[in-house]
Amino acid sequence: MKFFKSKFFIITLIAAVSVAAVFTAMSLLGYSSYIKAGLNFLTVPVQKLSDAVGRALDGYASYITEFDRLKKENEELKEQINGMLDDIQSAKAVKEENDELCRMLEVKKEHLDYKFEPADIIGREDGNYMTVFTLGRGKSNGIDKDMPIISSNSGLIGRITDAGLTWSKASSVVDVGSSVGAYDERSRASGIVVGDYELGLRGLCKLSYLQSDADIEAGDRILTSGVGSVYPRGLIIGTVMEVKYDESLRTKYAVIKPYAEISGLTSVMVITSYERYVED
Amino acid sequence: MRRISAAAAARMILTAVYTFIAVLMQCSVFPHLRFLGAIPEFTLCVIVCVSCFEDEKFSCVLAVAAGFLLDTVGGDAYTLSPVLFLLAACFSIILSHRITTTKIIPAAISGGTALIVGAAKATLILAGKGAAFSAVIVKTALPQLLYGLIVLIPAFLLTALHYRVFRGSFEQSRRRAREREVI
Repeated sequence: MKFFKSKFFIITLIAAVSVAAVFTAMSLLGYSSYIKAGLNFLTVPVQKLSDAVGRALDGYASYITEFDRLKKENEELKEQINGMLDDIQSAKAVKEENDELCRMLEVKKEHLDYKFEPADIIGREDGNYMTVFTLGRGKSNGIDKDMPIISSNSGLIGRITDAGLTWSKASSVVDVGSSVGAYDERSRASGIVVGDYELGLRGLCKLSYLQSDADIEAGDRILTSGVGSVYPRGLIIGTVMEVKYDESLRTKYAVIKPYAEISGLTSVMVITSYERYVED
Repeated sequence: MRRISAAAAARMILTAVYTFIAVLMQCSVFPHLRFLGAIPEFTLCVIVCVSCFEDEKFSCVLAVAAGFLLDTVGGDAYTLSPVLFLLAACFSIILSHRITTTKIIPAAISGGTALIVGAAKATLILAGKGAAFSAVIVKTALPQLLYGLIVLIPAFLLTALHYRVFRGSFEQSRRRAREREVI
């Protein structure tokens, strides 16, 4: 091509090479050039504008280029969170179990003569007139019929009504037909805690057969008297909610709120042996 | 001396502005749009494409000026771009004179070649500064080349659009000149 042999091209080529050589040499030797400084001065405002555009696009570019990485990171973090939630759940369960065992230990310390057999509630049969728990332990663990069961806070729950080799059934004090010899901790007034159909529906029971002049007030604690062969003396049955008078029998009775929170139980302690109370 | 028509002058001025914007984009916008950590040689792509369409003299001057401006604004210690851009423009001019049926092929060939040379330049400079040769090729040269090939497509399309707009005004001014001669 003729153009590449023209003076114009040769001059342009020489100019380009000269510019490259001179400015590279100056830059390497540490001399700044006024031409470069001037050009930079002139282009700075426009550069700022284009840089602003670039910054505005930065987020979008990151969205495209970083998407896969962020997606992967997000999945990893989700897995980590799920793992942590599982850990938290396990820790909560362990803590609850630990608290339960600690309370049981306290009960054991309070009643040195008691022999306990802890048992988990593996089934709960809520009927219209009775509540039966199925425990995961039975005769092979020393559990037998008519053994009292208590909660971890020493509250009386009820007694074993039936026992198999590896299982047992228990009924609570609020069941109709249940009767426990009891007394008022404050006044020593004695009576029998019995299950009542209507009260049982609300999770309550009543202290009957009180003397008409018995000193009993709302808020009093009711304990087992130890009379009979099932329950040891001194177990907390519940607290008095209100005191009423039975016109037909001409006696007082008290509505009792069981101390053990029966509805939320997950494990109980079966008292397999204790020192019998002998009344003076 | 050859006279330049008003339309041609306007076209050249706008081409220069377009190239100037390309330089600014390479220095300010593309650093925010890195692909695999590389910035494309967008200005080189524009110069190659412009050289396929534009007058030879103007292309050569524009290539040198754009190279110098890029190294100045970009703060490159090595002012090698004027020579590289001039050679790329020359190669593009030669190819576009040989292949007259289309502009895509000369732009693609000369653009690809120039980008390879650009990547080689970056490799040599970085290797000269002590960076591991293989690492420079993998982490800089190849991404730069790949990104350059990607931006070559929009650069060509923009340039073609730019000249398509001006082709109409070119033909109109030629027609008027012919009419004046007839009168």
